Amino acid sequence: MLAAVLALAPLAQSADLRATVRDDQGRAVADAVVVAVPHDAAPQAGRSRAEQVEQIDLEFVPHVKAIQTGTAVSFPNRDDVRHHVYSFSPAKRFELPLYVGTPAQRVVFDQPGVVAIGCNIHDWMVGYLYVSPSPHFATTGAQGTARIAGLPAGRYTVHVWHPRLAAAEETTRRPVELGAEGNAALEWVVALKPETRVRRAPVSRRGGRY
Amino acid sequence: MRTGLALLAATLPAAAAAHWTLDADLARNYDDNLSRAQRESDIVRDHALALRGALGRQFVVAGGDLVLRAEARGALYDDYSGLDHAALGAGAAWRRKLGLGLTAPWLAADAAFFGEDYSEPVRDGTRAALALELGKRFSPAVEVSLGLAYDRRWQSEDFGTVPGISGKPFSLRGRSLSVRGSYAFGEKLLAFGAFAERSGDVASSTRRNPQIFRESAAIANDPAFGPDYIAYKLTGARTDSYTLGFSWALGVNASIDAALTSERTSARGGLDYDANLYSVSLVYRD
Repeated sequence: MLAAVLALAPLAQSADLRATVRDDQGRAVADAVVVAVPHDAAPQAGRSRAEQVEQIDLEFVPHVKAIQTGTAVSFPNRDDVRHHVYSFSPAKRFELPLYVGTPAQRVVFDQPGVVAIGCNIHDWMVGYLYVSPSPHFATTGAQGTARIAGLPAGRYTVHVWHPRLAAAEETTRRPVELGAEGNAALEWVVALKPETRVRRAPVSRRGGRY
Repeated sequence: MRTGLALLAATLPAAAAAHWTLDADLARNYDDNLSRAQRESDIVRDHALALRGALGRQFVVAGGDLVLRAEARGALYDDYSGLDHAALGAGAAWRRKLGLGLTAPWLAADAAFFGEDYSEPVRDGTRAALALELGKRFSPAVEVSLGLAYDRRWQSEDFGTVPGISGKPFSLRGRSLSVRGSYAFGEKLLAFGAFAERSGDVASSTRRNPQIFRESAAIANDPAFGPDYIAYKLTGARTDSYTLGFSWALGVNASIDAALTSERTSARGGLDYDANLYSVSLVYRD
């Protein structure tokens, strides 16, 4: 009985944060990272320390992945062609030269920030890792919604990042206070820049006739 | 054909990962000087439906992608059925980045060999082409490349009609220097352009014209355009061609493209001609 009460105690003191992200045309924004940073406590470990970003049908899957600082990420290649994954981002520079299957080397992301990844063979392949010091984050789905579950009661600053965010990430900051039993819902309307990645579709290369 | 490619693939390093590639396009073309004639009265215009398909096997060789392909192409003309043809061939294309990152320059090479069978046999022959291209992407939207190419064609039979002059006007060779560029307006629309300067042999067709007998390196009857047409070969010609086109993506594997190529050829004896090729094509690559 006592054990059961103790086990339920943390749940009773946690809350869910529901976030909705839309663009300035009212459309749902997928792949937006929503991060809750606690005011009162140092960031805690608690998220998975091993994650993966796959390469499927010549794309990074997922396109955007949020991880906590210190997470090791593997980059399995599910295609039957070779990929050459790299990043020049200041938060993590790395290179996984041409490979098939799952490389033995995991990449540890030990600095917070955004890491843009590419493939040196297929220039249109672009993906992003959002490396967060806070363990409290989620990524929006196709409906533009995300849920950060199990947040301890307390005060937070919540902000949003997206690869095409037109304004600085700081402009999306919102304070929120979560009570012992209260859930919260926040909504953002953000302006997005146009997509700038390399076009993947083929182009005809017809020559003259002599 | 697929078996042949598989056998060829088996000769490459076993460690190399490989996969099949498919490249095809279906085009509707209009050529406003199909005969490559100088005089307005000799100019023949026509539309054609052209189809091209290539099945390839891709490998990683020397740090780059090598594709060995078998290729078939053909065209059907609306009015001048003597130009209808089918071609079968093989080719190899290799491409690699010379560095790491989106803006690293790249080097590409392509070699192709075809046998061509026309409705009118004077054009039957084999064709070979070699190309080398050095390119660089300056941003996700902008890419530019420089190319060198060599082309050679061997006409199968000698259809000589004039004593002392070769009857193979469609045996040609030339070399080209080209620059290409493209700009993507987004993930859907892309504009492309090219300029090429080719030096070498050209073949034109005309009704009887005394001047061509003085300037031509080869002459043969050309029934594809009519019983009174003759084809003649000019050596040392220079062709400048300008291409401008737009491509609209239909998903990640296909696009519909529209292009205009304008050719200006300067040939010996003032036998110059212009030609414009208009094309709308459906392109697929996987």
